[in-house]
Amino acid sequence: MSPDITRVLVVEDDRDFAESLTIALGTRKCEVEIAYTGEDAIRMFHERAYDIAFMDIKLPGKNGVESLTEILAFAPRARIVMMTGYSEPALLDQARRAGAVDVLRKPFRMRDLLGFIDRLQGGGTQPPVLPAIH
Amino acid sequence: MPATLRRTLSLHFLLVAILPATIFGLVAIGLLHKHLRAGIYERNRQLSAEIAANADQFLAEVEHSLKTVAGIIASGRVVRDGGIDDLLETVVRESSWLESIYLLDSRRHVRNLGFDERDGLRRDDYRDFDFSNHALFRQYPVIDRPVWSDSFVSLMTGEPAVTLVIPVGDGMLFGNISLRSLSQHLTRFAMDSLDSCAIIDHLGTLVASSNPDLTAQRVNFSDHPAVGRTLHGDGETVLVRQGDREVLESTAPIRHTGWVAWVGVDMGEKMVPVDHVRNLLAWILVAALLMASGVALLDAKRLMMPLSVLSGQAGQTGSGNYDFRLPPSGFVEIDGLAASLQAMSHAVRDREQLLLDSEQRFRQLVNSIDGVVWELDIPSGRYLFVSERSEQMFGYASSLWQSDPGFWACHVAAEDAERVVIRGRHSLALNEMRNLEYRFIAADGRPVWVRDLVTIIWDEHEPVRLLGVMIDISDRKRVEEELESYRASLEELVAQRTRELQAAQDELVRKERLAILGQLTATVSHEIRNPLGTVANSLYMFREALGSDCLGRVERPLALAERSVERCDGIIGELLDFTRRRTPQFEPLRIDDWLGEVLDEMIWPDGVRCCRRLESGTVVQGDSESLRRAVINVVNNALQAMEGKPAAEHLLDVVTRRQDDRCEIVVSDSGEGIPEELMDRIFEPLFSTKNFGVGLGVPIIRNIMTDHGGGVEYRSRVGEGTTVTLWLPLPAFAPNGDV
Repeated sequence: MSPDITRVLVVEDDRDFAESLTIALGTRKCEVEIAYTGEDAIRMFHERAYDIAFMDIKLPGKNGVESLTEILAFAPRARIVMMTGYSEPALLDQARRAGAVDVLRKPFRMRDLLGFIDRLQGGGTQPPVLPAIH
Repeated sequence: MPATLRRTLSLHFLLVAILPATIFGLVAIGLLHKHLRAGIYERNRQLSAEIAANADQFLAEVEHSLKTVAGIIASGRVVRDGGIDDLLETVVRESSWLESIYLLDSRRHVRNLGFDERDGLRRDDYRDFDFSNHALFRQYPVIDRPVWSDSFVSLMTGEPAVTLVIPVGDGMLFGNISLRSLSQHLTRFAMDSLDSCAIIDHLGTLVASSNPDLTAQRVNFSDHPAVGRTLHGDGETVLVRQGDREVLESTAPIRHTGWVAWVGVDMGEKMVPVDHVRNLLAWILVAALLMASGVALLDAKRLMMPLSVLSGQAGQTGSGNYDFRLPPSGFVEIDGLAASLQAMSHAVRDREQLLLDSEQRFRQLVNSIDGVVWELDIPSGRYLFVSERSEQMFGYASSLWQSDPGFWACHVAAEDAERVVIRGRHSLALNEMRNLEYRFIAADGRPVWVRDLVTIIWDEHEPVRLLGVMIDISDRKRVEEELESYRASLEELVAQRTRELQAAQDELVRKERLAILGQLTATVSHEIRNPLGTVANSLYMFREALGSDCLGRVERPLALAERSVERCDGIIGELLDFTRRRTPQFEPLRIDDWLGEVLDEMIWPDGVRCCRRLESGTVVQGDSESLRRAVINVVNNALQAMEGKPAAEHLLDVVTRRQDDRCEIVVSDSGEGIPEELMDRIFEPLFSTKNFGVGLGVPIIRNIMTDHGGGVEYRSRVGEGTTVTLWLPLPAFAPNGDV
């Protein structure tokens, strides 16, 4: 695989939203895979490494924070950005403490998400400061 | 042997009984005396009248006889010589009363005469005797009718006599009439030796009498008043006192000769038997009086001495001295009475002792009652009895009640006086007073709650006495008051708990609703935000795919779509903020600095002039994030309110200040203002005047401020703008804002 290609895992049970992300990420040099459940995401992280993952907190089965915790347990260097439409503040705090890179609040601006890719792919602009979400 | 009272009193009764009997006898005698006297008067009067009648008849007969002789002579039938003398002599001889009779001629010489020669007279001595010098002819010079002479004493008989002259032709018949027969006649009338009868001529000289001695003496009666008055009028009866004698004289006129018949009775002698009886009775009366008085005095002394001793002893019995001894009185009955009295006094003493014992027990019983037993006399209003418990219950001696009729009324507590004293009297009149509860002021001034159980004693139709027991019910009253207090506080407690429960329930319901709403909102927002994110992502891709040069006509629709996505997101955010009230995380905030930073971070529309005066100098305890949202909400509302005005007038004034015990953030805009009728509704959730917006902004602000113990106040004038004051309580420990 070309080192320029960024391997991205989108963990999102909303298939439309996952697809829209995939399309948007397609504007960058990304190889995007989609997991619809936390269990799928864990399995896929076991099988291969991803440069970055965008994971919804609310997922069927294991939720995003549990999955994050489990993934980071065996892949401590994994970069995982959490996404949420609405979550209990405690869960968000837990996610940050567990090692999430950041939390994006839906509906976020695509620029904010692509900022992470751009930074991975060599510099570019700093991602904007996001307001804290409670 | 002692006397008996019966015998003594019998004697007294006897003596006393004599008195009225004697007095009755005296009265009867007096009546009898009067009756007898009246009888004597009447008999005397009748006797005098009868004598007068008899005398009149006698004189009339005499005159008739002589008139008959005169008639014979005048008729001339006696013609023989000496015939007239014989006639006259025969007449004298045959009459018992004619002493002599003469026929006088005109010269008043005796022509014929007749008399009883047995008397020793010789006819020839008187023949031709000249009577012309007779006193009668001097008194009556002419005789033309029968004429009676004054009486005189007959020389022949030595007894009273009278001459009757009757005219015959030219001469006259001259007869001397003896009055002896009259005296004899009177003797028949005077059958009683005490009576005296007499005939008196018109000169007052006695001519006939029942007493021959008096006749001879020719006593003159002209000094007798009755005689004198009868000579000149009618007869009468008078009582004449002659020396020591009382003589009843009755007179009656003898019409023929103008003489008087007189009857005299010695009244003294006549009434002697009656007077004797009267005197005897008087003596008996006096003797009985003296005897009765003497015996009464003597017996009174004998009786009264032991009786007065007995009375004294009985008096002493009344005073409580039951032992007495009476010396023998001499009367069986009094001794018996004394013995009975002594026995009685001993019995009284024994009964009194029993009564005393009984009263003592009763008194102990009454005084042992745990209440004041009392008795009141209604007419006088005085207490007859008050038990000793009064001293213990109220500190008043029983004597105080009894000496002052107004004692009770003066010591009823003022609060109860109207109810108990005045209405009590009224109730008494209606016989309703039975059971009273009131406060009675004790000697030490403390009110004592008492229950007064009253019984009314009636006499016929009106109440006369009250009996009562005053029981101390202070303990019961205290318990009642405590119970009342407990009940009141319990009610208050229940009410408070009910309010708290209601509030808690309301809060619970509100929270439950909020929780459900929050859960719903959370779910919905999550589910909506995913498609919104998809839309946003897709819009991004449109914009990327077309590039800025090729946007052209879709530029505006794209922008509208992007803004709608933001609005939807804003609505979801508001709903989440309203339903998900977080617990404030307090930290000290220097409000001026903090607010400055918040305002600095905000994106301000063009043309808005914001004037800040952040000079409160206060520090408050606050949740920075919540307060920030509140401020942003307020400022955003202000900015929206000014959108309808020209940009030049967009003026926002933000001030912090300290007002008493609170810190205030005051945001004033120059917007349209809020109509007064909507002021109350702006705090209602989901109320909005904007054509977009959920209407949760102001409720969220209020929730945040309430969570801080503060509040939000709106003042607005339509057309001029709105002033919103967010205030927070200042911590008491940092009055100057120093941390």
